Amino acid sequence: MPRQKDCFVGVDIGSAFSKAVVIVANQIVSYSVIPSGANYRRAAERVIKDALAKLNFSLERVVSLVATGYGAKNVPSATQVVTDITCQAKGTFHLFPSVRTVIDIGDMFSWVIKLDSEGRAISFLNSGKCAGGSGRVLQVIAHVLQVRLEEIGGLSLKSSKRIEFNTGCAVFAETEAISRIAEGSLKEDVLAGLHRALAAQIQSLAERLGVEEDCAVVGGGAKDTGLVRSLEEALGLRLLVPEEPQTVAAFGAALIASEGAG
Amino acid sequence: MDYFAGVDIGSTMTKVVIMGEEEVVISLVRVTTPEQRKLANKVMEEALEKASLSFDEITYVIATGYGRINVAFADKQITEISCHARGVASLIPAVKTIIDIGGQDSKGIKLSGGKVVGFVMNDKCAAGTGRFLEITARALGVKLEEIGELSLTARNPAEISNTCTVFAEQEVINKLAGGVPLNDILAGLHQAIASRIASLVSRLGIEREVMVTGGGAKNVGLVKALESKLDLPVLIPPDPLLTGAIGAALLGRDLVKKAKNEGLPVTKRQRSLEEVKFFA
Amino acid sequence: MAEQKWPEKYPVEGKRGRKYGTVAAMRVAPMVKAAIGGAVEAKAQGKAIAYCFIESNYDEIIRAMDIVPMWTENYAGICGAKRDTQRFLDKADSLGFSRSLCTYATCGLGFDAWREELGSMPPEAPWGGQARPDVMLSSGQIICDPRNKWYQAVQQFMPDVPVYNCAALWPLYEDDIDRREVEPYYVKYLAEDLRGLVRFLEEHLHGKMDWDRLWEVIKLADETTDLHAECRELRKAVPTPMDTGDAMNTMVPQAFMMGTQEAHDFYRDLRDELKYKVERGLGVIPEEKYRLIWPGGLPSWFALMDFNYFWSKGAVFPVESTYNELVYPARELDLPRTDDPLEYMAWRWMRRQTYWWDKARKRPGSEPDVEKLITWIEEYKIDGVVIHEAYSCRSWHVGLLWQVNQLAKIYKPIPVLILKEDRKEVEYRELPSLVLESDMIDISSYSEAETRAKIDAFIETLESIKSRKVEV
Repeated sequence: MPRQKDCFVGVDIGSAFSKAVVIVANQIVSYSVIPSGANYRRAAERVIKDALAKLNFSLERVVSLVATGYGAKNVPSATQVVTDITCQAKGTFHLFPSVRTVIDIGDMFSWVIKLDSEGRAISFLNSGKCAGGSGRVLQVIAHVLQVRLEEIGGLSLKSSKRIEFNTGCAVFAETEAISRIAEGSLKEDVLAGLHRALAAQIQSLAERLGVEEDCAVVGGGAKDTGLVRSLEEALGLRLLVPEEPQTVAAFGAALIASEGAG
Repeated sequence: MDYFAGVDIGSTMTKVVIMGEEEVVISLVRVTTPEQRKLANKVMEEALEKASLSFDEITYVIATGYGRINVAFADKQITEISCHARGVASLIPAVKTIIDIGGQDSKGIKLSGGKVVGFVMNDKCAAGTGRFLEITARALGVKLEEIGELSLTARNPAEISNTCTVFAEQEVINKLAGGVPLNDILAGLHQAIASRIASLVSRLGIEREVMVTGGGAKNVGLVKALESKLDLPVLIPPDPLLTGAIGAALLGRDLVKKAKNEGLPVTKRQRSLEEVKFFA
Repeated sequence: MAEQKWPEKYPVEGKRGRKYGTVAAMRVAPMVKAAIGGAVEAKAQGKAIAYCFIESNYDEIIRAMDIVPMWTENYAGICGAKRDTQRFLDKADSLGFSRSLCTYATCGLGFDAWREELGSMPPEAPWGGQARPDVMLSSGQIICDPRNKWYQAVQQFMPDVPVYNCAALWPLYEDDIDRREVEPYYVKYLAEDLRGLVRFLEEHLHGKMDWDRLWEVIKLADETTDLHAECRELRKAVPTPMDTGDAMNTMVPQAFMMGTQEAHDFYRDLRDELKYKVERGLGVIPEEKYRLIWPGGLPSWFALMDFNYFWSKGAVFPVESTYNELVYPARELDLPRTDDPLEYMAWRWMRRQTYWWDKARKRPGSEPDVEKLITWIEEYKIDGVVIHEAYSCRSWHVGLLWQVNQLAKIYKPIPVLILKEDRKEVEYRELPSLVLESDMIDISSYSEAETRAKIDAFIETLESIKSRKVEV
């Protein structure tokens, strides 16, 4: 017997990771995060299937699907494509209605987005043509220090010695980290130094737009507790972080899908 | 018989040259590892062994390159600018412009009468350095040693619009997935980096003869692309990686010669070639 | 009077697929091409050529003395529009000029250095190239250091060409000063400066100023400005008959031909076309959804098609500040009577600059440019603000960002509902804004994909505000 359609899906195809979120009655019931790889279309198909499989749902139960992100145009079953700025705003505001500034730390770009009291993005800026202010450097460092990406945050919080990182370049950060280790610095101190350097770049971007509280951090970079701590220090305020910050844009996309059907 | 040693610790490769009064006796190239003090000692030991020389027979040691301060046994440290210039001048005196393309930096050096009169360097941004090609080659699944030749087979070089290495990496992945031929992408990458390097060096005013040194000189695709951007022929030394170390050794020889002529002692630092422990 | 024939449907399509909201805008490119070629010809015929900057308050003087102006900012803009700037920028870079300098200046410097080296125009120079000047008239307006130093730098390559640095300045606003207290001091300085300019031109170009002729040219220029101001007024209509995309072309006579009959007739024709459109309710696009303001700053000359992209989303720009800074009818300026045309020009410049001062003083936190934006936002019924931050134009664009932030702080016209405990309240928010980042002529700083993605996000916000309009 065919099940009725009752869920909405949001898909965010980023340059590093692809995310899919399934919602029913505006609640997240399942999600999936996978590396995007080189083929965005395949990543999209896989991540959607994966998220639905966790619920034993088939594609037929999906009322509609909204795609967002760098590779959004590659999502085959999308009803609509919406920019990731709007989706981040939507998702974050739904979780924290008090938020007026969103900092999204992605793989290649960091965004700062200002919201009005209905959760719309009324102005925004990104880190620009240089990857130095984005999350890519975290992946590079994790690889070089042979620490799992999920662990760099926790490790960096153990730092007791302050090191200054000199480079702004995501690529050269690797060499600098290697030299520091060679000089005898501890991994946690190197990570903390890197977090400070990245936080300073993001702070500078945020202050160009003006930061209004409450302020939330989302995107893959927000999973790094050390980076979030450094950002709080740099900005001088407490930051709200969703439980699954990497999926917020996909969540926002799913919410938009559900609104469209109404 | 006096022997002179030049040790060039680059960000990617470490080079040692030992020469006598006239000729190079031995040269070595090894990958630079993070523990540079230990590395410097190891490579020197290896070179001495291959040359059947003991350390005490080396009259003067000059260290150069990014890691020169980590060569504890050197008599003097001199910048790579001066060393490259000296090395190149010994090979081809007519060279007026040196373009050194290293693993993590690129430099332009202007010479006049064999002396350095100006230089420019990019070491802040990975684009325009060997890293750019290394990273993009890896993303394309091609061996670094092969990209040069492959790039020359391109029919229709792709346009790479991103300056940043990280973004360019993404761009080439997309292009490859989108069906752009591999050699066209490689050609585009070579043109992009050649453009950036040419732009950097043109601030010095490029004069013939032009010589390219460093790892980049071994990339035939990059050399051709540079020639095209500069609209000038470019010279390559027989061992492009060694010009710095050769220059360092020669500068050592020059110093010793000068001291002897003036009847002065050759000042030597207290040094020995021993196992080095690095600081806690 | 000749009957003008205008189309029944807009937009109209021009060259290379670009769309225009007016026929007048399409006529501009050939006018510019003719002027540039004309300068080269004039030079060959031995006429006097002057390198000039726009909005320097010397247009009528040049025209009255039959000097042929070569507008170097315009030429750089043309190279930008033709996407042929890289070789000139590279040339300047190789001469040691920093890559973060104003790209108009570095493009011009690269071009001139090359021309002087060759003894003839660089190969395939856009539209025949920039004619070699006999004098150079720089003016930094206080804010723009490149415009103060550019011609001085060019003298390295042309040491025989003298430079006069004009004082046409942007006076500094203070909220506790009545403009009438400071105006006379500025005017005295400005008039002296213009006198110096005339003497300089007479000496170096061996001509003599005909003061009666100058008055005639001033009168023609004032009428031209009046017509241009009328055009801007007509754009208040809903739907708007003309947008900023077109204005980036139609500003040409104002900026580069002021004091000529051609400029006068151009704005007369534009005014008539806009009247025609307003009478018939003809907009720029069939369905106008959002009205935006361009608060200042230079566009990306190589990407004027981006305005068409906005149009495709239903967004148009009824008003912009760029090139409109001095367009006020003379009758509104309350100018004192004088027999001295230079004093007149000085007063006129001064009063254009202080036009918004009185109004700005009445609103805490405001200042003249912000006050102008607020007024126009209301008069033109604006939904959102778009600024282009051209990275190489520091002086202007840093100030722009400040203006837009200040505007957001002191002007909140959009009602939004917020939930307070169990009841709904109305709160007022600022207008949504979009910052595009690129350069006016250096295309390497531009990403079309990213620009369009940002525009899309901005449109999504505008749409959301529109669809949930709160009735207050």
